[in-house]
This record gives sequence, structure tokens and C-alpha cells, in this order.
Amino acid sequence: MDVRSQVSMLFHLDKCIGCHTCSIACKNIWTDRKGAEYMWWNNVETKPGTGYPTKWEDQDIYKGGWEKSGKSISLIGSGKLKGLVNIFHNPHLPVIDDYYEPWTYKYSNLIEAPAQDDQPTARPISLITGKPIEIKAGPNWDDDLSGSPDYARKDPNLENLSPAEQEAMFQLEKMAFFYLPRICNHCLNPACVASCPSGAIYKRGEDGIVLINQKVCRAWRMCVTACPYKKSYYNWSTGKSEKCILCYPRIESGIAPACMHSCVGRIRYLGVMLYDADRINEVASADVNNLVNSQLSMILDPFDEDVIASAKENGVADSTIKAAQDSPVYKFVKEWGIALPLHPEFRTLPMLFYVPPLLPVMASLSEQKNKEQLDKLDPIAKKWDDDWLYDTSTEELWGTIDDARFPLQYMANMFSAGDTCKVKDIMKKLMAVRIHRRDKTVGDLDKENVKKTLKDVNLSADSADDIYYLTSLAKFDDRFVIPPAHREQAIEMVENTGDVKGSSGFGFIEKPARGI
Amino acid sequence: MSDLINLFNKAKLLIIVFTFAAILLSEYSYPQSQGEIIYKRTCIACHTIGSGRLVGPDLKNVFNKRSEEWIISFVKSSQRMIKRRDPDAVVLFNEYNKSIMPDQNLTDDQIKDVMRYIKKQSSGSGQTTALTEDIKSSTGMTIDEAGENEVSAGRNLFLGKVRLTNGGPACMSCHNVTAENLIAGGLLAMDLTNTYSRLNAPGVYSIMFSSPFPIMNAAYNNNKITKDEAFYLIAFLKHADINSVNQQPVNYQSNFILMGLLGAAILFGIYGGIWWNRKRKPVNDKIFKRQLKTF
Amino acid sequence: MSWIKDLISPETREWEEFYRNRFQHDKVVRSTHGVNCTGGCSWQIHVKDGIVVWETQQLDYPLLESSLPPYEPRGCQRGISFSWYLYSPLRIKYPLIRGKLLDAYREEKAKTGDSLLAWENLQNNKEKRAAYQKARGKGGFRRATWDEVLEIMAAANIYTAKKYGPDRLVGFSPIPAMSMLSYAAGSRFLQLFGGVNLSFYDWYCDLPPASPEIWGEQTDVCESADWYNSKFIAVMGANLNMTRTPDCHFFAESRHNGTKAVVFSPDFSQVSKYADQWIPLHAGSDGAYWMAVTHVILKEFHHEKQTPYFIDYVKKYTDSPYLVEVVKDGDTYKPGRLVRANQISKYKDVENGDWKFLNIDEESGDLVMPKGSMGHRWDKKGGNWNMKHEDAEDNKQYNPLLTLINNKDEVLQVEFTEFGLDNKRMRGVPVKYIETVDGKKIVVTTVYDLTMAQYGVSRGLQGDYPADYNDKDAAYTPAWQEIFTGVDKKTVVQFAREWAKTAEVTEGKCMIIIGAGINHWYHNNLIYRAGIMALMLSGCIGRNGGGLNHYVGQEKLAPMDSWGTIAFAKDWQDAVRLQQAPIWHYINTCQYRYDGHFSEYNKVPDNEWTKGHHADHIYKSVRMGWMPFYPQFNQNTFELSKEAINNGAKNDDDIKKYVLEKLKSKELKYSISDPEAEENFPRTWYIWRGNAIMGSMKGHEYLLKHYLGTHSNAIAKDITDQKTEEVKWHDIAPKGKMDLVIDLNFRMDSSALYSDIILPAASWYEKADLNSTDMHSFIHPLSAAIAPVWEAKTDWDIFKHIAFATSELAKKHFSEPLKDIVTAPLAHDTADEITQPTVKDWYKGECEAIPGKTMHKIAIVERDYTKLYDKFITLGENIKTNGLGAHGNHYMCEDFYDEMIESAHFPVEKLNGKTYPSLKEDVSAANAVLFLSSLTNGELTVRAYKNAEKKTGLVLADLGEGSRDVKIDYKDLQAQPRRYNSSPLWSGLMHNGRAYSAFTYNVERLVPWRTLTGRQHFYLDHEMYLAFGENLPTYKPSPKPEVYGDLRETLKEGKAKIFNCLTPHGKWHIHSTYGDTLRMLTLSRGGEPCWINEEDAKDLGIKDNDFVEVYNDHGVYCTRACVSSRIPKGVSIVYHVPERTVGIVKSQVRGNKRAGGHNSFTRIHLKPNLLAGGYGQFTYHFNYWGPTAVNRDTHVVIKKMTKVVY
Repeated sequence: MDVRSQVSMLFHLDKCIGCHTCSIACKNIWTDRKGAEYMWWNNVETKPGTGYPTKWEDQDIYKGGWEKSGKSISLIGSGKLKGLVNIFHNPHLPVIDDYYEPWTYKYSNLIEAPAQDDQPTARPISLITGKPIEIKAGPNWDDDLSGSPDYARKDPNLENLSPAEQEAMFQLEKMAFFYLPRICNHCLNPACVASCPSGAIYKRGEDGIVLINQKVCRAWRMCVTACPYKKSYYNWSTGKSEKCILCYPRIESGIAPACMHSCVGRIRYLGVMLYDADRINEVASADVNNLVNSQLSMILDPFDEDVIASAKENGVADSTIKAAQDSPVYKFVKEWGIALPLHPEFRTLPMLFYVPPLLPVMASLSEQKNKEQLDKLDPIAKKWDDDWLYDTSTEELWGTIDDARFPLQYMANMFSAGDTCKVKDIMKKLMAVRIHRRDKTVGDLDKENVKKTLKDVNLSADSADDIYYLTSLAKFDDRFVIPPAHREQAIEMVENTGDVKGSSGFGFIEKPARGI
Repeated sequence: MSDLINLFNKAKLLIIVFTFAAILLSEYSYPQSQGEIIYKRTCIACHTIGSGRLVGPDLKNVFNKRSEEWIISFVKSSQRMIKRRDPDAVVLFNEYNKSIMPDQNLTDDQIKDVMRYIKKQSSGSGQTTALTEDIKSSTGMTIDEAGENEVSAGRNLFLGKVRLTNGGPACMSCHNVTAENLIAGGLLAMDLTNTYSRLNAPGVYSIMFSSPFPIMNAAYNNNKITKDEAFYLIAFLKHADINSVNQQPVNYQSNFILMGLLGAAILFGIYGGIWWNRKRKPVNDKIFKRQLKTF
Repeated sequence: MSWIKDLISPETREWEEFYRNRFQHDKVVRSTHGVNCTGGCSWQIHVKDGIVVWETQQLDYPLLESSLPPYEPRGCQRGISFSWYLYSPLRIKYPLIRGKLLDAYREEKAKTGDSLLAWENLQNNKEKRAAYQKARGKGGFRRATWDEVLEIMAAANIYTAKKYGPDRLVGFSPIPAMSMLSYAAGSRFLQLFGGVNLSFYDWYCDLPPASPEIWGEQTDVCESADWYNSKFIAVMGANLNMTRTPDCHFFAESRHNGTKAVVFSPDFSQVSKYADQWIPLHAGSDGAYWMAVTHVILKEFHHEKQTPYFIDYVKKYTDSPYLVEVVKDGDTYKPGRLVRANQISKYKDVENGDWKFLNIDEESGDLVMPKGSMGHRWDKKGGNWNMKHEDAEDNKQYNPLLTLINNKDEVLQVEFTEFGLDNKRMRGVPVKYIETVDGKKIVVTTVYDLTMAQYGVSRGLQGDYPADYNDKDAAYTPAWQEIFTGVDKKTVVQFAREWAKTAEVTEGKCMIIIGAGINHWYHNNLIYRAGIMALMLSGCIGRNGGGLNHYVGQEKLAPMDSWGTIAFAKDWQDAVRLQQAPIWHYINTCQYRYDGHFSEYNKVPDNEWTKGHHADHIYKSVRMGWMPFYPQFNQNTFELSKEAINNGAKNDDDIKKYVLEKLKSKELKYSISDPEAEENFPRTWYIWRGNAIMGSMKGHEYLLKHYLGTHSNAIAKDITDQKTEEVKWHDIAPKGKMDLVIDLNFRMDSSALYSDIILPAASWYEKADLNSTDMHSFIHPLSAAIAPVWEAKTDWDIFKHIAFATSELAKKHFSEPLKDIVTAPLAHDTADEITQPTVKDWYKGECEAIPGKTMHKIAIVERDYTKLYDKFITLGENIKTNGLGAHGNHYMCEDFYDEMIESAHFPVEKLNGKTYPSLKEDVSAANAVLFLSSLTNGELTVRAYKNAEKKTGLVLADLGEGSRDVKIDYKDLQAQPRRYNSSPLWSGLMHNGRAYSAFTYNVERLVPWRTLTGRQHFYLDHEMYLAFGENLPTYKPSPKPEVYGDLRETLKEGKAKIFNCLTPHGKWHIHSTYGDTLRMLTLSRGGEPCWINEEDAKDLGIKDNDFVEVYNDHGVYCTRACVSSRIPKGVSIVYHVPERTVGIVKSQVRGNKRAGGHNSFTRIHLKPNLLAGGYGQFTYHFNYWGPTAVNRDTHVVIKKMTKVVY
């Protein structure tokens, strides 16, 4: 057992507002500069939708992630031979238009325009060429089902849904959408690390954060292709690739990552989890049906004495073990089993987890056929041309999970490599918590039914209350539990920490430029 | 490419660092004006003050011929002025064999300092010539005495067959010389085949030690070329220059281009095969193409 | 974290400082955003090297009750982008002025050497004036010095006052709560000058008129934490994650605590993702749905089950047991007015007997006069204004009889009109006969009985009642609503049952969260009332977790009491000029000329009241004292007072008399009677903190034409066959009424682009200010993280400078103090609200003209412009003598005023040997507000409650005791958000971390609502409400495009597809703010698109991201199409507010001229019955009452563009 610790984030999608505050918090601090304009280390997508970069989930196009080859796995897009062949031409790289060409406006025109015979306006110009630009794509182009014929209907996750099921997702009575915030998954089996010819990418030992060394990176951009989540971006100005750093400068100071700090939906949880690094290869090569289970099984119980002993042997600090025991993420993922990784089939062992969202119940449409009735309308009154009746009545207070909008298969394609049972179990648990809380706070439901519901999903009333607490009432400190970084130890390995105290900050900071 | 830019950036840094260093040193050694420091570092290789033209014009009383503004502008980027068709600049350019004066990364104030120095030198007793030091090997041999051995040693240094003592890069990584038994060198910097006749030994010598070209400066500043090495190199260049008339210049025209095209075609064919299913267009190409353009 | 060494050596990780270096800053300052979003979020502003580098949220909100989730973090995608503005190319760094104007002015100045003369000459030169007006909006700005622009503004101010009177100087600034002192700066200057402040809450259509109608309250709602207390939430017209971004988590979290969530929205809106049920009602038909829900509740839970909690609640807290006269009208009976106490002999002599009403005691059957009516509020002797079930005369307890069904004398067939299917129904109502003072017998029934009949709950009574829920023709059954909403009756019935059951079990924990999506419909008041009825009938108002929670605009300025006095300079003078903006713009932008008679599109019964032109109704409402209108008269008020004095007036009363006589003789005319005469134009316009020209300007293109005199894309024609009668009609409408338009701004928005002078204003990270909201109960500071950049100044400083420049110029040109005559409408929360029991028009000789009674009030104010600056920077002594208060509450605070002078903690000013508290700096003003408010000074809280005790006869002071020691100052707020005290100023109780919920004070403490009966009103008996058929809750369908008049000219061109264009609040901007930032434009589609349905798009040959024109008679907006399956057919959405400054192309349908914004295709439509005044809760107050400027029923044509030119 090789126990390592991983800082891991959990997203409660049922709470996600889709506001993108996280994206901007991140951008303001990290990618608000030349060459990074188009980078969104954190972005939020509407599902169904094609996301950013467009159709990133479709590995037929981008060749990211790992594939099973024999008993082991290999990178889809690169590898020793492929790497050699492609070293000067990385054939599956997204082009700028797969992201978008960043633009601004000629704002100055408004203040500086001379007197003329029509109103001046600020027209869009490219941030790359400085020339007028046609805005045709953006980092959040299909937000809230924008352009659904072009985008949402081409969502790669629709793939193994029947045409009828696909079509239904865009009909009034079954339509829905939800939001998917994404950052780098800080995977346990990161494809980016494996693909880098310069060895510039590494996973930090102490917290599992995956970083691209800005001094070593040589712009091969293999990581851009290899990352199936397309979370490594090439900075065309500095000539280095960059990616989400999980705000390590903040985490090291005990402050939450910017995206989490700013999450007004309070959907994010950050905690540490212990895992067994010995099993990475085995787990990543698991059979597709067993991928999720085996990934979850390599996350270790921080209360287990053997685990603790091995952790200590490995140099994991006591404070880290304590944090792992208090980890909110561990609770969601392991204790309650209501969170799943995103696209486990990419086999990178992503270490962010998602609680899938509940959606409104389905409805039915019937023909109204009341021309006669329409004719009676007041002559001033507006008439509606659609002649349907919409019915969303349910037997039970909330309807059941089976009534929920969207085929479950869709969710399963995203979170459980296609296994609908997994997703359904979670949804049922979430609903059971609601039923339990309704019973406790209102008491208008049938008591026997309430008990049965909890029993069906193997939840005790106490666990249901715990889930409720962490979902709803949790304060920031409950959601954000990470161990101290012990920077003094880290610094000591290079120079005397006491000296750093007096000299920290002195020196010249140069702006990053190409090549440095 | 990125390495080159890397180099360039380092060069900038080094220039600054050395400027500071020089200023600091000057405080302790002897009073030397800022202008003088820069002049000696940057200009001296190609110009004299009152000693006649070298690679570039004699700068004595240059301030009487041109406005300060013009000079600053020219020093910063002569090529920009030529592109802008500044008449004086064009004449000068043509007069000096269209040899480009490299852009100098100097501030206005620094250039003014240099001019002050030139002014002082122009009016006063002092004359500044190009480096007048005799170019001799450590054994006392002059260039004219240099023989096959010396030329050969220079060739090896040029080619990088023998490493420069202080670790500087071989000349060939950037320069080309057309000479027998020599594969074509780099094209990143000037072809040095006829440099000797243009600059003469002192000119070449001074460039080697105090290059006005930032990249070269950066490349050798920490890795100084030793005097002997310089001697051998000059000997080689002289030899190459003299013999250049007899040389078949590397033929970049007919055959080479044809061969290149053929090679490219074959390579592209192979690449096309290998990368047959590569991603050529944005995913949304069709959507983008149908959209109306604005005016 | 352990430092595991084996992966990579420590030295190779030294590069990590690359990112660590970025995460450095020198200081973090607390501020917030002064934007009308209701967020009121606390932010950390990070400053590095004197530059604001980024902002993140504060996480230090004090916790409320332990059962509630915390507030942190608050702040959205828009707020977190704000710092972009600070150094952006849109930033106004220096004063700017349009070159054409500057040159013309300088030319005159050079000739005359005097700024006033120069301005006068320029204004008198018609050509030059028109020339610079035509240049408006078309570039040509020049940088100017502060001195020069101040000189021009001062000249324009003095010139306007001298030539036309001070009431031609107007100012617009929205929603003070978001940065209250910046607002106060301008309003204080304007009011000291005698200028006019335009209202905003009604103008933005954020005011829900149903709230004054039912509760006598502008708006009062729960803070967002209280959503969490609810067990059934219906969301309609509000898109919580989009517009209540920082609060939405309470909604999401509440679901996990067992709350049912239902969302009504025609499109699958963002918030629909949280819904358990999403109900896509046809746009604007929500009222019909709620009428049917209420039908079910009344039938099953009131009539059949008689749910005790519900019955008890309506008896106690609503007007349902009150008696209403049933009057005979021709052959039929109709509901009439509330029976007055003095109509019967028992109470014939009671004080204010017209304003006290009757119940029947269930036990004795006697008539009882309940306490708590409006009459009791204004009785000389207080103590009876409470909701105890006691007779006000003998204090005897009684039990009100809710229905006469078991105590009737007879069942009469009463006529009820249903406007949807255009039906009249005769329905049996149980009645009693009572004898009046004059010996007549009148027929009466209870409000409750009328309600039952109106909703069609037969209770076994004879008449045209629906047979069951499936009756499609009878109002208001679940089957009836299907035709309007498209929602199956089964859904309605399930909803109503779950709603009522939840309310019963939880005692009122069902709430409606409602927003602009509903409030902007023409008949918004009816839709709201329909929903509120369901709430009241299930006892959900005044309960935590219940209520109608309307979040449209950041209207809640918490410390209203002290702030209101400072903002409107009441510390120096008593009379103010506060204008109801919708009627003002309707008239002054000439939009009434394009409107025609309202009965064309407003479904009204046919009677005398419902005829004619809305403009004539406005004119009437002004002279009746219902509505304000400035300019007042066709004569300069300074000239008028001089004239009075010349004619022998010795004192103010004489002047008033002189004015009254002159009005009565019709020699002096109201400006409203002839708005197109030159002398009645508004002249000088100050805009600050808002986007008056684009953002809120319904009928924007008409503004361009008639106010600014520049280009316009409107093609509408005057409706000459439906002209005004009393308001003088000119054949040609004037263009370019405004002499000078000044905009204070930190960014180049559409208003700035069209203004003459732009003053660089400090942004929200560059000044001290206060911010409060109804979304939470904290008060926030705005702080200067950095000093105002470049030449910017704070709003406070700018108006201080304008005041100074004006005072200095006055020393030369206006040195004598003059008397100003100020008219003001009858005011809510004063005894004015019991002045007009019936409507009688003095102008037509129907009654005596008595100022303050049958007509508006007249006041005299002395204006000494040379002292204007001195007054601006000092806190006047009126505070000492008059005390402070708001909403009818009051307290004295002379000791605190003195303390401000004596204490070393407050700066002072010495003027003419007297010492005053200083308001020179914004921080001093903030501290004055905090120190003198009952919300932030605990001693004053107690005093305010004590004062309320006197009026109500209730024990209330205990509510203030717990916070007696509280004294919050500006520095406290900078340290941490602070919750303010409960105060009688507001209707929610919030002790011990309890979430604020509106009207808990009324429900738990029996303090009456500020309505006629003191209870919540089912029934509205003002004569206009009876005449307009809105006395009982009802449903009026949305008007169809043909009658609404948006497409009269447009459709002449041929066939087109018509869309109902909705302009709800968007995701990427707060109104227009943030919408022009690069960040928001990048995350959206680079501009505000027009959303349409997939199928509609196909029909029109439009593909996603194609350029389209959205247009009608009023103007055009050009943008890109956003084709989406989540939009219903026949509807298009353009989220408001796109600026016309960014990425707007030229319109093909309007001759290749630059297209406008979303308000280019709107026009003002008003509801006349909302003009009512002088009658209980129907009495004017600034931003509280009056017709609202709706825009939701707008129709447009959408067309694909074939050539796109920038």
C-alpha cells in the first residue's frame, strides 16, 4: 500500500446556479493576460451542450485520454511510437476556433470618435490580430441551450440514446438542462503527465496537484491533446502550456481556491482523500463496467489503522490524516456514495467528483382542440396559436425519479461510463433525503412510506440528516477542509526557512515572455 | 525558434545587467561617462570618431550633419527609417553597401549620452579609432603570417569541430561561410564569406569581442572567445574571403529547389499517410462558414 | 500536507513561485457594488501597487439562526468583473463635452465675457441650439476642464431658474439603496435649488402596485434566508439563479430540507432546473392560473373544509369580514363601496367617520366598528389604531362574522364581470339590510361573500355558478384557465391542494417569489393580486417562510428615516419636488400623442370613468392632488410670487391665496395642460448613477426625438383621431426640449454617449457610501480602495462643486432670495390620505378648491441661491425641531443632533457664527445617516417604537429594548457586515437571528397595515377601481398586438411574423451595467442576442447566430439570433439592457441608421386607475404609487438581415 493524499473537489450539481462566478474569479487572478485570453481553467457548461472547446468529450475527434490495450492501457493520442511520429505535428490538437478567437471591442471609438452623422459604436476586434472580427464562438457559446440545433443536439453524450429519446430532450414536456462546472481533474493517472516529451508536467506529492513547469515546458502541446478534458491550454504568447493549478498559492496559505471561494451556489466542497498509489495501473486498466467501482475502492478509509500506519510511513503528516478524516468530499464520495467522477471511461482516474442533479418531473402534452373556446375570448385579448394542454401533475408530492426529465442514460454517459443503475441509486438517495426532511419539518407524508424510502436506499435517518446538513446548512469551514501545507518544511529543503522570512519578496519580478 | 528568442531575451537582460555592472565598476576605476561605456561597447566595432569610415561612417561631428531626433531614430532602427523612405537614411544605406546597421536597444537618454561623448571626442584632442590593437596570436604571429594550420584551426572552430574554450556556440550555428569542405552554415545571421574584405581584421576582431549585435553579444558575453581563437577565426575568414572567388557558391537555385520540392512532396505524402485522420478544421466549420460577414 | 520527496526534487519546483508571485496584494478593502441588482454583496477588493487587481467575496457575514444556511459567499459573475471598468477604455477619465456645444458656448462667452449671458444667447439662438442638439449621440466629444464645465452648468442652472423657474431643472438617479449617499448628493442639490427628482421604482416598473393596493406598503418582502423557512415555493416571473444569484442557494438548499419547488415560466428558464414541477404558462397568463388555484382553495379549504387556521387568519388579518354595500345599477345589483361607520346612527358622529368601517359581531349580530382603520390612524387621540377585535367606541371584544350565508336576510343576484371570455354572470350573494342615518335601507354583504361569488364558489346559492372544475366557461375554474394558460386543470388542482395542505400544516409556510417577469405586464397589479389572494386565503402573509416576495429593484433603503431627510434637504426646508416619472415621461416625451385612448387595449367596463385619453386623466389627477407634475405652471414661480407681492401679498399665506385665486380663475395654467408650449419644457437634466436615456427609457426613440432633438428610428405617427381633450393638442410636436443634459458616469454608456456633458464619476471602489437591500438584513459600505482615478470625483464631491459654482454665480446674478411656490400632491402616511372620500373635481366646479383637501397642496419656500452651498455641506436644524421618521413613524433626536456638534467624533462647519454638523465629506454624511437612524442607533429604535405605542395603543417598545446599545458607524461596517435593528419603519421582526419576513410585525403585534381598514385588502372600493372593474381580484387577458399599437406602421409593409418580445433581466448584466464589459461579453455571445424558438427560426429562415432586426413602429434593435429549444413559440426574448454603444450595427429597415437597444421597441402604456389619490392607501408617495411604466406586452417583427454594416 502506497498511501498518498489528494486534494479533491466535489461539485453538488443540484445546487449549481450556472452563474460562472467561479470562471471569472479564476480568470481575474490567473488568466487575464496576453496569450491566456482564451483560457478558462475553470469553465461552466450547459448540459446538454457541446461545451468548451466544442465537443471536447468526443475523443474520436480529439484523441484524449487512455484506451485499453491488452491488460494495460495506452494513450489514445500519443505514446512512444505515435509520439515520435507526431513530434513535429500534433495532429489532433484543437484549433483556435474549437475554443474561440478571443476578442475585444474598439471601445475607444466611443470617446474619441469625431463628430459624424451617425452614432459611433464599438465594433468587435480580434485580440490576436487586432482586426475586426466576426464573433462566431465563445467559451460559453451554448449557454442555457443557446443555439440548441447546432450545439445541444450534437452533445457527444447523446450518442447511445435512441433518436426518439434524443428528440424528446428538446420537447417542452421533457426538456431540461443543468450546469457542469469543470476545472482540471488533477487525475491520479494523468494523461498530460504521461504525454509530455519534456517531462514538464508532474503531480505534486504532497497534495496531488498536477502542474506544468513553466521553465521546462517546451511547447510540444502533447498535453493539450492527451488531456481528455481539454484542460491544458497553450499560451501563444509565452510559448508554454498552462492549466488549472488548483490555486496552490492560495491553498498553501489556507485559502480556498478562487473558484471555490467565489461559488455563490455553495456547491463546492474541498477536502483531502487518501488513496493507494500502488493500484493506479490496475485500476486504470479495469474493465469498463468496473471502472467506477475500482476507482472508488482505491480511495482509502482514513480511519483504518493500517491505512494510517502506511500513510505515516510514507511521510503523510498527522494533520493531513486528520483532514482526511474530516473531509467533506470523502463523505460524499465514499461514506454516502452519492458522487461520481466525470467521464471515468477516459481512464485518467479524475479526482473531482460530482453529485448529479435532480430535475423537474416530466409532463405530457395533449391536444386542446378548443377552437370553439378561443372564439369566445374577449376581442381585445391575445390568442395563442399553440393548441396543446400541458399536464405535469403527479401522484406523489415530488413525483418519482423515474418521472424525472432526461433519459437516465444521458447522466450515466457522463458520470458512470454508461451505468444507469449507479446514477439512479444516487438520485434515489437524494430524493430519500428530501422525503425524510419533509417528514421531519412538515410531517404531511405517509410515515410508512418515508421509512420504506430510506430503507430502500440503505440510509439511516441519521445519515440522511448528515447528508442534508452538509448539502444545505454547511458553513464555509464545513465545506472547505484541507490540511496545512507546511511550507516551512518545503522551503527548508532548498534554503533556510529563517532566511526566507527576511528575504521573501525581494528581487525583480519579470513578466513572463516567450521562452522564459 | 523558441531557443533563439530565449537567447534574445537573455541578451536583453544581460545588456542591462552589464550596463549596470559597467557603471558600478566605473565608479571605482576611472571616470568614464555613460556615453563612453556604451560607445565602446556598441559602436566602436564599426565606427570611428575622426579616424575615417570603417564599416559605418566616421562619426566625428555627426551631430552637425543630422538632427538629434534623426540620429536617435536611426540608431534605434535604421531599417524602419529606410522603410519609411527617409531620404538621408536611404542614401547612407546605399553608400555603405546596404549593410544594415543593427537596431540598438538603447533609450533616448543613452543615445544622447553617446552623442555627448562623440561631441566631446570630436571637439577635443581625443580621437577614437577602431580597436587598434595589433591582431596577433599569442605566439606573436600576425594575420598575414597565418598559414594552413591556423586557417584549419579556425575552420574547426567555426564548424564546432573544436569547441571554443569558454563554451560559446560554434559560429556555424548562425553564420554561413562559403568555403571548401564546409557544409552550409546557419542563415540566422550574416553570411561571413566576404566579411573580411568588408571589415578587415580589426573590424571582425572588434565584433567578436564587443559585438553590436545583441544576440551575438549575449552568446559570447559569458563565453568570451579567446584571443587565439579569434586569431584563428580571422585567419580562416580571410582565407575563405580570398578563395571565395574560386568557390562554387552553394547552389540554392535550380537543383536544390527541385530536390527540395521533390523531397517535400514525398515527405508530405508520407505525412499525409501518417496523419490521414488528423483534425483539419474546427469542429464547427460548417456553422462558421454559413455565417454572414459584416462590413 | 506532507512533502513527499520521491516524485520530483525540491529544486526543480522552485519555478512554482511563478504563480505564487501573482497571488500577492498590498491590501484588501471592503466595498460593494452600487448597482440595482438587490445583491448588496460584501466584497474584498484587492489592491496591488495602487491598482485594483481583482475582487473576491467576503466570507464574514454574521450567522442568523442555527437552522438557516449562512449567507456567504455573496456576489455573482457580474460583480466579480467590476474591476475591469476601473482602467478600461470605457472609463471616463476627464470631463467631456460635445465639441459643437463647447464651441458655440465659447463663442458667446468671448463676446459677452459672462457665462450666464453666453448661455442665454446660445439658448436664444434657435439655429445654434438645434445644431448642438442634432449632434447629440454622434461623437465629437472633447476633454474639458472641471472649471469650464462647472461654469457652464452653473450658468444653465441659474438661467433656467431665472427664465422659467427652478422646476425646469430635473434630475434622474435610480434606486438610492444601492449607493444612498451618491443618490443623496444630487437630490440634495436639486431640492435645495427647487429642482425636480424623478421617481424610479415606478418608472422601472419595479413597483408592484398590488402592494400599495393590498397593504398600503411600497414593497416589503422577506430576506432571502427566509426562503429556506418555506415548505412550498412558487417562483414566477423571477429567475433566481440569473437575477438573485447570490441568494439562489437558499432556494436550492431549501429543496433538500423537504420543500416543494414549482417554477412558472414560459421558457425553460435557468431557475426551472430547480423545479420539481416546471409549468410553462403562456406568457402573461399567470393571473388566470392563480385565479383557478384560489377557486380550488376557496371551494375545498374554505367552503367545504373550513380549515380553522385559514378562517381564523382571514378574519383577523384581512378585510374579508367588512361590509360592502350592494348597489342597484339599472336592473342589476353590483358590489359598491365599503360601508362607512358614519352611515349608521350608532357611529354617525365619530371622528373621521368616513374612514372607519363596519363588521358584524358573530355572537350578537350587532354592527361593530373595528379598531385599526385609517380613520383611527389620524384621530386626534391615538391608541385605537390596532387590529384587536374590539369595537373602537366601547372597546368591547367581538368575533367578526365572515359570511352572511347563515345570517342572511336574502340572497340577491349580483352581477360579476369576467373579462377573459367577456362574460357577465349573475350569482347569488347572501345579503343583509341595514338602516342608515338618513333612514334608508341599504343592502350589504361581506367582502368574503363577494369573494366567494366572484370566484364562482356556489355554496349552494342560486345563480350562474360553475357546476364543477370542468366547467370551461365559468370563471374561475381549473378548466376555465386552460384556454389562457395552456396548462391542464389536473396540474392546477394538484397544485392548489398541495399548496393549501402545506399552508395548513405549517401555518403559512408557502411563498411566492415573484419578479419583473410578471410585474412588467400591463395588468401586473391584477396578476399579483390573484397570487396574493391565494396567499392570504391560506394564511401565508406575515409568516416566516411565507409571503409574496417580490424582488424587482433594490428598493429597500433600510435607514430611510435619517437618509430621507438628508437626501431631500428636509433638514433645511419642508417642501420638495418629487415627480412620478412614468406620467412625466409619457407627457414630456410626447408619447401620449402616439397612444390614443386606453380603452382600445385595456379591457374596461363601459362607463364615464373609462373613456378618453390617458393624458386627460393625468391632468385631472394633478389638479386633484393625486399626482405631482413639474413644471407646475406656465409661469415662473419666482415671477408668480413677485407678482403676488406686487399685488399686495404680505406673507406666505397671502401668496398662496393669490396663487389659488389665479388657478381658480384659470388665468394661471398648469404646465400639464399644455405640455408642448415652450415655457412648459423641462430644460436642464442631470443624470447620475443610471442609464436614463437607454436602460430604463421606455420609448427611448421618442426621447431622442423630443427631448434631445437628435436622430430617431421611430416611425409611429400621431393618433389624431383619438386626441386629448383637456390637454392642449398641438399639430406639430416639438423636438429637442432639453437645453442641457449632464451625465455623471464612470463609463461611456448609452446615456453618456447622448449627453452634452459627461462628468467623470468615481466608481464603487473609489468612494465612501452605504448600501442596503431587501435580500438580506445587513448594511454595507462602499469604500475607497483607491482614490478616484484620473480626474474623477465622487458623486458627493461633484454635486458639492456644482452647488458651489451655482452659489458663486448666484452672487452675481441671483443675489436676492426669492419665494418659490411649490405644489405637492396629497401624501401617503399623512392625514392627507383621508381627504377625498369621493372624487369631486374642483376644476369643474364640483366642489370647493381647498389646497390639501380637494386639490394639491401649495407651499412657499424661500430660495437663497447664494447660500445653497452652505446648506449643502451642513446638516440643518429642522432635524432638531421636527425629528425624523418615515412610513408614518416618528422620533425626536435633538440630543443626538447636539451630540454631533459637541462630540469630537463628528466634524462640524461654522457658518455665520453658528455650528452645524458637517456633511462636507461623503464619510461624514454616511456617519450622519447611521447615527440618526432608528435602524442603526438603538436608542432611536426604542423611541420609534414608543412613538408607535402612542398611535396604536399596543405594547411595542420591548421590540427595541434588546438592541438599545447598538450604535453602528461607518468604520464598523467596513470591519464586518452588520445586521440592523428591527424598527417600526419596517414590517418584519428579526430578533435573535430570525430571518426578516414582511408583515410579521403586523401579524404578531397586531399593528395595522397602512390601508383603509388597517387590514390586508381583498376588496378595493375606490370609485375608479369600481369603474375599471378591478374592485375584486380578477383576470384581464394580455392585449393583442393589433390593439396595443406597436405595429401600426410596420405591418403596412406586408406580411411578417409577430412576436411578443419579452425583455427580462439577463444573465450577463445588471440592467446595462457589466453588459459592456469584456468579461461578460465573452461569456455570453459578444452582445445581447434575440432568443427565438427553433421552429420559429426555421419558418423565418434564421439560423443560430444570424443577424436579425427586431423592430416595430417605435424603433429597431439589430442583433444576432440565438435559436433555442427552450424558448416557446411566438415569443422572443431580448434580455435587458443591451447598450447601443457596443457592437450595434446599422439597420436595414431604418435606412442604414445605427440601430438602438431593447427600449427602442417599447413605448409607455399606463393604467389610469393607478392615478387615484387622496384615498387611503391610494395616496401618492414618491416611488410608492402611480401608474407604472410597463413594457411586457410589446410586440415586434423579426427579420433576417442580408447585409450587415457596422
